Amino acid sequence: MDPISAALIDKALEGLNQRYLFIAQNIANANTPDYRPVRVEFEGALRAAAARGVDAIDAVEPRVVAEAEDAGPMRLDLELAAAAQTASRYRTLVDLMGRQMALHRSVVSGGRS
Amino acid sequence: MNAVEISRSALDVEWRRLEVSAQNLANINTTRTADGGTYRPMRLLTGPGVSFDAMLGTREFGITPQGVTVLGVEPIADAARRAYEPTHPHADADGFVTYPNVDHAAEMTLMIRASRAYEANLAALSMAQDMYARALDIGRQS
Repeated sequence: MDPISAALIDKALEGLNQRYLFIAQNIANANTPDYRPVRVEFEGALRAAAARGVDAIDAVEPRVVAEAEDAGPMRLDLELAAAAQTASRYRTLVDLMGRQMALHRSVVSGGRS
Repeated sequence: MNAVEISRSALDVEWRRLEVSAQNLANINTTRTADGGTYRPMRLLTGPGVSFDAMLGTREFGITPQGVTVLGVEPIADAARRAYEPTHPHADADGFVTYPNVDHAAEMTLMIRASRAYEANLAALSMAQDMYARALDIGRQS
């Protein structure tokens, strides 16, 4: 795997894990009065960093931002949908990582499994 | 805290919220408690385990979400309901019996909200477990 995509997958997994934590926090506070849901953003920064190399990618930190004051009460169903989407993206990336590793293994072993 | 622990804290909180509502409804006609007073309807007070401002910003502060915690159980601050029943053994000198002022409709809606939140957290918990289980497959010989 080239270093850029390895670093990207790594950072994306970190960001998705962080996002899942905060979605879990939002759902956990479904009955907390005046709770403002929080979001995790990292894709934009990651996309910009991808063009600048591995060091820039490693420097990307997921940002935690609060929902606007006037966004109204939290929608539990939308939070759950976001959780499902985040979990499935995470699994996809893990799967991709596994495939890459399998590819490397077969290269190293010269095709003998 | 990881995602499973966060959801677990919420399961605990919502479960206790249901218990408090059930207790209020069960005592809707209680005229005297074991210690001789009148029953007072209770409310479970809950809040996030970490202050809101601490969660914002980047990860460099090392703050992760801490789920939700019980802040306490407080009696509802409204007067008791008095009914004129002079034959009741617990009636006072004027013939009035003091009942707890349990708001039946409010307790029912709160119970529905609590059980909805409970289900949502159960779903979030199983998704998190699935996600982490998949991460264990990294590097598995295939």
